[in-house]
Amino acid sequence: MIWKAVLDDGSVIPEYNQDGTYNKYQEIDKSKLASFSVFLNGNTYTVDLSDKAKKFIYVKRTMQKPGRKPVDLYILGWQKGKEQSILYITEQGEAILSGAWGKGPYCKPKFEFE
Amino acid sequence: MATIKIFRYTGTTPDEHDITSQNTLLQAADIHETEASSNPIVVPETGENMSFWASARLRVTENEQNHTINNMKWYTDGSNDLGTDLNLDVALASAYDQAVGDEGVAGSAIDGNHGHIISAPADAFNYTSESPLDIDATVPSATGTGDIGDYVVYQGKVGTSNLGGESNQEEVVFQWDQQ
Repeated sequence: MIWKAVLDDGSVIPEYNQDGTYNKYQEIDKSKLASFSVFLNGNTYTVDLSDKAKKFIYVKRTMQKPGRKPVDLYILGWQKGKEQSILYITEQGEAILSGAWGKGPYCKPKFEFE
Repeated sequence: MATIKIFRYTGTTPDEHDITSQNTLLQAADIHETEASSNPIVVPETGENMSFWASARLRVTENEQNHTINNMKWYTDGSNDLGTDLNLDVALASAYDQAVGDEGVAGSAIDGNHGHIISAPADAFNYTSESPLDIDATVPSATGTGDIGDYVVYQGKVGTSNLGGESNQEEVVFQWDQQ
């Protein structure tokens, strides 16, 4: 998974630059984000953040059982008051959209520990 | 992305055992082994015998991009399949305390013997992905490397109805967020 941020002034911040260096997600000014995209398994998932009242959400959630491969879940979306739109994306590319306030996705993404 | 590992601690120093990629046994001794217990817990004639408690904690071992690691949780599948009259308790601690007990027979209870408990022992199978145990009181987050969260202290319990022999294996989940 890699990401790309587009700022309000049109400038683009990729996770990895063409010269092999990288940009730190922590150093992006989230208040200036126009959109944010993640690329995973050939799919692109983009959050439109042109509405500045939207709070941006991007989290990598890892579940680790000792002795098993970790399972990662990417949580991408926004919250605005009691509205929210959040994608739960598995490493296999399954994406489930949740819009319910205070709840997880309507149906849980399926994943298995290897 | 950052690298997070799970360590089990034993002994006085303590010794550190990376259990991210392996299982670990609960025994009547303060040691880490992956199979063929050399110190099985004796089945009691009355009451219950306990294992020496095990202490585990998350550690950020690599975090070059200074990601924030937080929201740590711990849970089981909610179903106790260890075997007849076998149970598992879990508690949280703010610091390490070596497990004590009668080696080769049984461990001492966490309650009253562990000096840094911040969450009393409870049935581990009460904690599921829907209702996990928060393990982030002691070190709630990190943007660098080092130990994070609380010590997860767990202890097996054997009742009189158990017939002896190896228990079934149970799996637990450590979960964290990275931003």
